[in-house]
Order: sequence, then structure tokens, then C-alpha cells
Amino acid sequence: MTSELPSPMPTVELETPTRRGDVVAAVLCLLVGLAGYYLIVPAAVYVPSKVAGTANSPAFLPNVLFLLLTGLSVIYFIQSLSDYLRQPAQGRARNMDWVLAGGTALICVGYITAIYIFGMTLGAALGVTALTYYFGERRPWVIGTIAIVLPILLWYFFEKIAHVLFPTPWLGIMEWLESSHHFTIWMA
Amino acid sequence: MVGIVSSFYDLDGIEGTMINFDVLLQSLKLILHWNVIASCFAGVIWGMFVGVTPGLTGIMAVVIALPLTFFMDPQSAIALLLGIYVTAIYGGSVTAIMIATPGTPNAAATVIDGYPLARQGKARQALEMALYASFTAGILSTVVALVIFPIVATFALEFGAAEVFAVIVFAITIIAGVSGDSLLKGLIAASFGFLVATIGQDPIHGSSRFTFGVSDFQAGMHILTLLVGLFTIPEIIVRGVEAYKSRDSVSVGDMGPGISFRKFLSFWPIYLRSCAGGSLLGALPGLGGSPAAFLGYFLAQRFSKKPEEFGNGSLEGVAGAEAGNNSVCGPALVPMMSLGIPGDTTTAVLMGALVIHGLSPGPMLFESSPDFVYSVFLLLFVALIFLLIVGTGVISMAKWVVRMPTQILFPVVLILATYGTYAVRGTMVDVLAMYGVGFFGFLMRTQKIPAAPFAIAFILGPLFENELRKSLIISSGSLDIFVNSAISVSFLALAALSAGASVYLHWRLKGTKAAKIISD
Repeated sequence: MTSELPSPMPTVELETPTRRGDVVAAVLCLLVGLAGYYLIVPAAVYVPSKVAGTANSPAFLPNVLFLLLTGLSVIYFIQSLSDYLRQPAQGRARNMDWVLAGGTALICVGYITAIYIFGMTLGAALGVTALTYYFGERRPWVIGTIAIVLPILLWYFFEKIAHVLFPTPWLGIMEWLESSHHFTIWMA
Repeated sequence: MVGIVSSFYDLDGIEGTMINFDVLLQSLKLILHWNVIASCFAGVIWGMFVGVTPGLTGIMAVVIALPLTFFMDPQSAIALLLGIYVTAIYGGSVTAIMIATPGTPNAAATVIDGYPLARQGKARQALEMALYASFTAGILSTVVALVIFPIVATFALEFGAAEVFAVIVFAITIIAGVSGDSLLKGLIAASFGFLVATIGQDPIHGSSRFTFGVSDFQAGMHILTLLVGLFTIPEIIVRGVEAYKSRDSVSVGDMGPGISFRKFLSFWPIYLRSCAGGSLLGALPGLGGSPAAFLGYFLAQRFSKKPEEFGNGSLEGVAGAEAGNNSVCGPALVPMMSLGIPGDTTTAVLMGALVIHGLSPGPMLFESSPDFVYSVFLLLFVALIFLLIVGTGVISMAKWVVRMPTQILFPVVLILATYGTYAVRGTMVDVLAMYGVGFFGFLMRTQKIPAAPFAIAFILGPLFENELRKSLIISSGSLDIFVNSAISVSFLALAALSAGASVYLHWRLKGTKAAKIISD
């Protein structure tokens, strides 16, 4: 007897590494390693002169790690380049997935911007609305309920119970509401 | 080394290497509080919810709950996290059996036989087998952990700076070797993790490193910021793509009859074998549940009278895999609590939670707070009992729980992650850093550069740097200090051995189905 069962979730092509991607990743890691050793550590780590060049130096471990990263990246680069040259090119099935993933990333950036402009609470309402819609939810009452209930619950928990101070936004709409007499009485 | 061995025969030494029942009783008092028990139950509910939701991993469940623990006492906090830790592993098997999608990576081996069983109309049998095997192996392995912990803790007291450094090298090498599809990528990820851990003040001189004038980074990147970014954001991005592709409604057929108690008991050799293998892998730093599940599955098949059924719907396969992955729970806590080296990423977060609550996992924890240490193991038993109760309920609702609306869940998780990260230190810099790490983690994931070595290297980074620099200062810069002690030489040799084995295995298995399963 075979039951009616759903088929497994679809494969996300983004999770299948490509040989070209490996070459790019190796080059990026190599650049980070070299830039770290030659540019970032000298600029961003203050080393007292009496311990310079010793294991006691604050730059000792970062230097060792950037060198290690450089060495590993060279091996990674050689390995991935030889794979890339030896084997045939892969398909371009990932392109659509990259676009979809880019959309999510863009909404995340928009959400952070919304936090700066409207504050945590309204930002969350906007963020959750955009993401649920983007992820495929189309029922307005579901999106609306989540967009209202979730930010209010979080605001109440973090501000009123846990006493976490939220950042002051450029447009302090929630702050204006909070300062309103009736709103304060209602929440109390 | 000789001293350690002799301590087993020395009456004074025996006291330190066996379970102290007086302390065990005291620790029982610590957990018998309504708030601790309620926290554990809440953790089990949350862990189950996350476990049955494809894409929400156990580590995400623990990370999201971590900010809540800031407002709890240490006992309740660890009870909540342990409840999640134990349950998420089992929860992952529900979707693995019902829709061939492991809720957590630990349930990957369960799919092989669980899904075919469900297709044959035996979903309830598979789910019940998974639950009872998880519970049995969890209890057995916690007993094992309780027995071996004092021995390891006593052994760990012998460790100096060079030995601790060698253990960290060993742990990172194993983690890098078993995560992702090559040792090289694992080591690159670990290098990034160690580098991010150096952000902030130098531990010896107090001078700034990589803060670029941002005062919020003087104290370094917060553990929660990194973990949420690394594990939550990439998952949400990937699952977003998945949600887009699978808008068909999920329909589940007959569940079929349950499993009899006699049949459950008849599988006892499988539980014992999986538990032995899983406990061993769990106690080794870095391996975690997935390899243990595959080992359990392999052992069940190897000793089965019907090996041909494996892969086509074998209850023994489900029992072996589930007993294997759940038997790491207790033993994985042993290296974390005794050496300060986490067994896997989830125990790394548990370790972070202990540090946040002012407790330093490591040899001295057993000396300073033995009752707390024992209470952690006792809480595992409590969590397992709750797992059995909640899991039974979930099985009867399995038809509905697999229809979790991921298009709603993931946006909510993203908002929770943002609030949780902000609440830790009350600064938007942490939120920005969390998203930065998240996007970086996503790029790493697209090339299968594993996140686990990154996270564990970040957590062990401060200890790694301290012990390395301390050793080199003691030896006036000579590397001989690392080969002067038998313990340190042993761990460095094991590190070299595990690195060699990892390279050899990846080379031998390259392009095979087994390699794909391991890397996934």
C-alpha cells in the first residue's frame, strides 16, 4: 500500500558549490589573507614597541592567522583552478536562485533601514510584511495580523518587561504614540 | 599520564574519579524548582516546534532562545537550552519520515528508511520507533556521560597551557575535517573564526584590535551576534528560495498502526550498539549527531538479519539512526564541561550561555560547582522524559505539523533574531554586524565552506590565543613546550592523524554518493 505523500522539498541550487565559485572564493580568501597581513594588521592593531615581533605582541596571533589563511588559500586556489580547467562547465541553474536570494537580502537591508527611520517596532511591522509576502504568503488578513501582533508583543516584552531601550529613530512615530496620554493609560 | 592511571587504584584518587552521590543529591535539589522544570518543558516544546520545521535547525532554536536566558537564573537558563538541545534532534526525524526533509541535519540518516516506511503506510511505526529509540539512547548515553565525566574532569586538571592549546588544535582539526566537503575549507572557515575572535581589546596589553574606532567593538563581537548571523540569516535566505519553489500544498496519507512494546524491546541490541558508537563520537570534540546517526545506521545494517531491507523501509534502520544521533547528547557535554571544548556547535552555544551567566566551563567548574555540573546531567534526564511525553503528542498530530507555514515562520524568526541581537548590548552595531556575518555566512554556504568550524573557532578563540601566548611566553618563544608534555604530544599527534584521515577519506570518496551524504 502506498500512501499519498508529498515529494521531498526542492533542491536549492545555491547549496551546490560550483568550480568557478571555488576559484572566486579562493581568490577572495587569498586577497583577505594578504591584505590582512600587509595592510589591516599594521593599520588596525596597536603594538607597543617593547613587544613588537614577539609572541607577547597583540599583532602576533592576527599575523599568524592571516599567514595561515594565505597559505590555505593558495592551496585552495591551485586545487579549484585545476578542477575548473579539467572538468566541463556546469549549468546556470543557480542564476534564478541567486536572484531570489538577492531579493531576501535586499529586504533585510530595507528592514535595517526601516529600523533607523521608523524605529524597531514599525520597522519590524514593515519587515515582516515584506518578507512574508515575498516568501509566498498572499492572504492579507494573515500578513496583517502578524504585522500588527508580532511587533506589539516584542515591543511590550523588550521595552516594558525586559526594559531594553530601543534606538531613537529619525521619525519617532512609536515614541510619539507612547508619549500620548491615552495610549499610556491603555497600555497600563 | 602515570598519575592519572594510578588514580584509579588509589583510594584518594577514586573519590575524585567516581560519581559523588552526595553532590548528586544536592544537585537534585537545584533542579526541583517549578521555574527550572517549567523552563525545561518550554525548551522541549520550542525544540520540538523547531525540530519539526524543515530548515529551522537545533542550533537556530538554541540561538534564538539565548537572549531570553539573560533574564533567567543560570539553572533555568541551562534547563531551557538543554530542553531544546535534546528535543530538536528528535523533532528533526518527524519531517524526515513524513516528507523526506530532515528537520535538522542529525535526522539525515533517518530519511533513508523512515520515508520509505511512510510511503508504505507505516508512518506511525517509523515515528514511534524514532521516538522510543531516541529516548532509550538518550537515557543510556546520559548515564554513560555521568560516569565518564568525573574521570575526564580529573584528567583535565593535569592540563597546562600547552596541553589546552593542543586539545583546541585537535578539536578544530576534527571539526574542520568532518564539516563540509574538505578539510581545507574547514580550516579556512576556522581561520576566519579565530580572526573574528581577535576583534576588540588584546587580552594581555588591552590595546585595540580591528575596532576601527567603533567603541561598541572594544569588547569584541558578542557570541550571540556571530551565532545568529552565521546560522540564522543564511538559513532564512536559502529557505526563502525554497519557499518560493514549493508552493504546492502538502498532503499526507495514512499513518498506519503503531509499534508494539514487544517489537520495541526486540531491538535492544541496536540501541546498545548505536549508543556505544554515538557516545564515543559524542565525547570527541566536534563530531556531533550526524556522523553518530550514520554510524548507528551502519551498525544496525551490519548486524541485521535482513540487511536487504535497509534503504527500502527498515524499522531497524530508523532505530539505529535515531539511537545514534540521540546518544551524543550526554557525552557531547563532557568535553564542554570538563575541558571547556564544545562537542559540537549546539554545545558551543550552551557553553556561551554558561559563560554569559558567569560560569566558566573547564576543569575548574567541576571543582568549584560540582552540584551545578551534576544538575546539568540530571536535567538531561528530565528533558528526555518531557521529550517522550511531547513526542507522543506530536506523533498523533504529525499529519498537521508537517504543514508548518514556512513562509510565515522564517520572517518571524528573522525579526526575533534582530530583536534578540539588539537586546544583548542595546546597540545597532551588533545588529549590523549580525547581518554582515549572515551575508558572509551565506556566501560561505554557497561554496560549502562550513559554518561550524567558524563558530567553534570564534568561541574557542580567546582561550586559544591565551594558551598559545602563555605557552610561548613561558618557553621564551620556543615551540619545544608543545612537545615536552606527553598529553600535548598525544593530542597534536591525534590532530595530525585526524587531518590525514580526513584528507584520505575525502580523496577516496570523491564523487561518490557517500561523499555527497557526508558533505550534506
